[in-house]
Amino acid sequence: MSLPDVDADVLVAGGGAAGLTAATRLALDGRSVTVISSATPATALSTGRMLLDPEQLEAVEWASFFLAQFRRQGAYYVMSKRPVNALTNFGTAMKQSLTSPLFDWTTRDRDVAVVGLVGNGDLDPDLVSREIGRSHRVRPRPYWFSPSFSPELDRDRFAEELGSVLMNDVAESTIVLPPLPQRSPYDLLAELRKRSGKRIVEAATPLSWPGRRFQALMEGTAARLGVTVLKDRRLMSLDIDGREAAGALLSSGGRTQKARFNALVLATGGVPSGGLDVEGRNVIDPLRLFKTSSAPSPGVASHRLRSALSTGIATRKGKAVTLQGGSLRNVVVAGSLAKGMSYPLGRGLGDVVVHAWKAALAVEEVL
Amino acid sequence: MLHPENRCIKCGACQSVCPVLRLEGRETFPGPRRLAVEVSRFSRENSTLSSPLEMCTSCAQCESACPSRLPLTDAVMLMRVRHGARSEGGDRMLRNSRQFGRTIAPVSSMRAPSEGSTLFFPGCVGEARTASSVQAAIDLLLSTGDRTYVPDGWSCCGSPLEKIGERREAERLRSINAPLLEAAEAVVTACPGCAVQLRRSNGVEALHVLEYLYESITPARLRLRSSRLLTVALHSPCHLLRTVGPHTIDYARELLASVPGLRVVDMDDEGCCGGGGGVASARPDLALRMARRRVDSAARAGAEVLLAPCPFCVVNLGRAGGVEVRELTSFLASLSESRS
Ligand SMILES: Cc1cc2nc3c(=O)[nH]c(=O)nc-3n(C[C@H](O)[C@H](O)[C@H](O)COP(=O)(O)OP(=O)(O)OC[C@H]3O[C@@H](n4cnc5c(N)ncnc54)[C@H](O)[C@@H]3O)c2cc1C
Repeated sequence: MSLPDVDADVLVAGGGAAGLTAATRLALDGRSVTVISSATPATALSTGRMLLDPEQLEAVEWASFFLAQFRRQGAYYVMSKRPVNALTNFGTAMKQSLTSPLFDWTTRDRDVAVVGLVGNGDLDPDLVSREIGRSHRVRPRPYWFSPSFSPELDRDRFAEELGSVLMNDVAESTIVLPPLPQRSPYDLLAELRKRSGKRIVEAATPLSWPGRRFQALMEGTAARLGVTVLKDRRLMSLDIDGREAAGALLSSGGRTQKARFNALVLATGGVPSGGLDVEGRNVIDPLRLFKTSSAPSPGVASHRLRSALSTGIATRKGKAVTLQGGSLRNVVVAGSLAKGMSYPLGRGLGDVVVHAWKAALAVEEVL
Repeated sequence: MLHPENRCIKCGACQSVCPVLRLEGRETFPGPRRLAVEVSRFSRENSTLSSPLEMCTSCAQCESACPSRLPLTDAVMLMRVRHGARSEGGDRMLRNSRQFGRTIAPVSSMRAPSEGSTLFFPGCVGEARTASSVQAAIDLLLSTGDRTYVPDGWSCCGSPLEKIGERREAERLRSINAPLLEAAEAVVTACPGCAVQLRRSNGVEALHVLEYLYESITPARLRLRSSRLLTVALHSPCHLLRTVGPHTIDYARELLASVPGLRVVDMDDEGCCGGGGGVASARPDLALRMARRRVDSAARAGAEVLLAPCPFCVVNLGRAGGVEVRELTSFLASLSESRS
């Protein structure tokens, strides 16, 4: 007895930004696509805002398609021609070209308050105020506010209460808030702006909410286009027949399941996501099927770190190269699993989605 | 065992999904990272930890969120044993096990053949607390022509005893079950915990009854129909979804979707019922608060019945009241045309 087989034109292993980008583009072309995914992807641990090159055709293509999709799900991201600043929860600035107009942080702001919410560990107003004071010319004032209503359970009363505090008790005109742990906080932030009459900036928190929201938007987009996303499934092994992957073995809990496909996209991420494994001083493919190779990485002194960041699955014309040295014609590598694509060596999400957007074309060629 | 403390990348994914942490707050429950990873480093604070340790429902949401795939649930259970955080319930289980071979004193026995080809494993909680559901599942299988049986002399799968650190007793139980399980052509149970334990410790391909119904019996042969329009919600038991495997929930949804007259609604809050990991006996107040959240969510979704394919969940959710809670297989049995 066994689980029913998974059947698709394309199987995508890995449901982070890369896998979902490739899957979505292939579904747009009318392909049947199944994504298998397990664990929290790096995409959900990132800040979820990205640097895209507005001169690069594929970046513009990606952005114009996905941003329209995000908007349909209630999120107002925009791609700016010149990178804007966002503020991290450490009080440092970071350059972003894909962001929301609600989040931009400029040093033009003169009178700034940083408001921490008791119970929300994502932003410490004392720390952020100090850091901003050090790197900018402003001296923000820290506030703590203890909400009586959880934004998750009673959004309206939370907005009413916080809005009135910001208007009456906070003198400053620009207010930095921690990320609000909601699937679509955009209308909440917009409402706070309206209620308080102040400029509100949401700080970006790596390892927390903005990345998870971005992940949810990517998943939502894929689902709307008919992509099947199977969670908590892992790619265990591939069945290789000559220069092709003929099928795969997946795990679901304690059982295994076969998958059949015409093409496979490998988008299982870098070392932090388990798409690559560290063995002694080397970075290897955990499936032990594919060769790894390194991109030049000047400026990273530690050998371990350098190899973790610069190593990826070796490819020839985008196709994965096996340990024996041949490439598999129907296995395409996408995202941070590819060499030189690991953050911060690559530029993170921006490079990853562009890489995956192109990888989808390589898949089309073999279908 | 792997040492989780060495491979943790401190991303906090486990903390942000933990249902107990979300409900109780950091001051009361420090969360899986603290309990599974950091405690072994900061062992001086140990004395303050027994209470949080007993609050873990072993739902394993932390484990499936962990990018490094650390065995966080096992690590918490190990910490419990090291702390000697044994509740009264644990002592009672051990006494019962030694006396009856079950963690709960059996109150009834199943009406089922004692020989056949498909061994149905009732499990301690199934037999003692949800006897009528187990009976209904057995009857459903028999009604399809399956040669279902319950062997004489089965004992607890051993999982709850392993979790409280009673390895020797668990081993004793394992060896009682071994010959019974080996003689069967197929092993089926309605308890996700038993399914996993029988696989792990006895090495048999134990299936959850949903897997068996879907893969071997197939939905078409069940011929299910609801005599009136009924709105139901499906609770996804932690040990079924994350340990037996996510395919089981797909099966449950497909089985329900195949029934004319049923409408399945989604709940706005997914998560743990609060009854696992010994929490129902060690911290009934917490178990009840968690159950209420689930039941309230079912009520908000407009469900008349909340279905759960796990005896632990059925018992714990049933405590909350408000919406009728039923074990999924016995619910399917009540819709089966081949029975009536
Ligand atoms: C802490 C942190 C902060 C970051 N901050 C930023 C930032 O500020 N800006 C920025 O641009 N970038 C940032 N990055 C980098 C960015 O997040 C990554 O480059 C990008 O998300 C990689 O996307 P991906 O789809 O290639 O991989 P991932 O998003 O990691 O997705 C891979 C998925 O595949 C799954 N997987 C692995 N093995 C298997 C298997 N065998 N079977 C099935 N599934 C499997 C993994 O569990 C994971 O879910 C950050 C990364 C981290 C870790």
